[in-house]
Amino acid sequence: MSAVEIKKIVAHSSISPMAKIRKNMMFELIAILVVLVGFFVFVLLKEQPTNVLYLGLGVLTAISLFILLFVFPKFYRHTKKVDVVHSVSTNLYQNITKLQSDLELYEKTMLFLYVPACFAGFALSNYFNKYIVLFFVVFFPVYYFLVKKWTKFFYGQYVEELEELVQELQQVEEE
Amino acid sequence: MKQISEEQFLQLFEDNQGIIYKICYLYGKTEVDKQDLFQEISIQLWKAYPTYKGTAKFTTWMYRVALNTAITFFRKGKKKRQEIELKPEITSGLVYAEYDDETERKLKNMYKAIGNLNAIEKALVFLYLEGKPYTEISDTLGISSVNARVKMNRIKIKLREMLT
Repeated sequence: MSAVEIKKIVAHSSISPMAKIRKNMMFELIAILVVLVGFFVFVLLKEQPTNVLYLGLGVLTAISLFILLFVFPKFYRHTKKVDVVHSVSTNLYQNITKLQSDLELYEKTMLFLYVPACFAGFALSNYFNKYIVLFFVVFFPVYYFLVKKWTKFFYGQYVEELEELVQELQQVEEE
Repeated sequence: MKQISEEQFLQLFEDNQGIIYKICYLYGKTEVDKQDLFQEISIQLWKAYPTYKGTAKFTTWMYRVALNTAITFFRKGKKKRQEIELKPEITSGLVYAEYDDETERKLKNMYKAIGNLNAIEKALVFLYLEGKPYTEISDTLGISSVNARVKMNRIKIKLREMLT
């Protein structure tokens, strides 16, 4: 393979599982934000603007800014940073730590998104209907459980596989 | 030590690409896997080369980057171990001596057996087959050289069992 061919290959973006996980997490958060923004715009155009609607839009804007300023740059930094030059064990530890921290941040952000989702529900009924409030309070543990399960099912397995490799190295050291 | 230039890196990459082929061959289960892994290792080497200061041999540095990338390059269903079939195109980068049929058959079987090892064991075997001393193996893997030796002996027994 010539230098020209090598340069063609390295021009591609990373296809590592970790880069994919971070891209997927970002895509999911963007998709939820787009749905929520779309919903608020729809309600804003259809109904008479209310305080609940404005408050909901405010919360959504704050969370969107938090995601854009804090969550995405962290994912991006972790994807771009080169960690492959250390020993295998150090590299595995670093990957696990970073991935766990990203998953935690992703989970927290998903849980935060429940707040603007609640406001979307309130906005639909124009006011804080007590049944809707009760529904969102009761539904929160279910949502929490679903977020946890979703994260573990789609991304947590990868952390487990990395941990298995670390255990393999630890066993060698302990023996 | 000063950083190497892009041209120097590409030249070193070109000269030592056999290392990547061998790692892809060991870690990739299918042809697509091997090609994807080759691409990913190349990208990681490209991203990492500005950190190469020339204090260690280029090939030692290359082993680290390539193995770290290969070890964390999982595929869905990785736990279901498959036997790898030798494909001439992926081994074209390997420099092998002329073998007779019997030696080649044994070599194929050995590579199949290595394919059934886990990612860490494969890395150890790979470095061992490359003729690296235990000090370098332990440095690359981040374990003590005594443990690398013990682990290697166990892998040899495991491979022998697989082959008999």
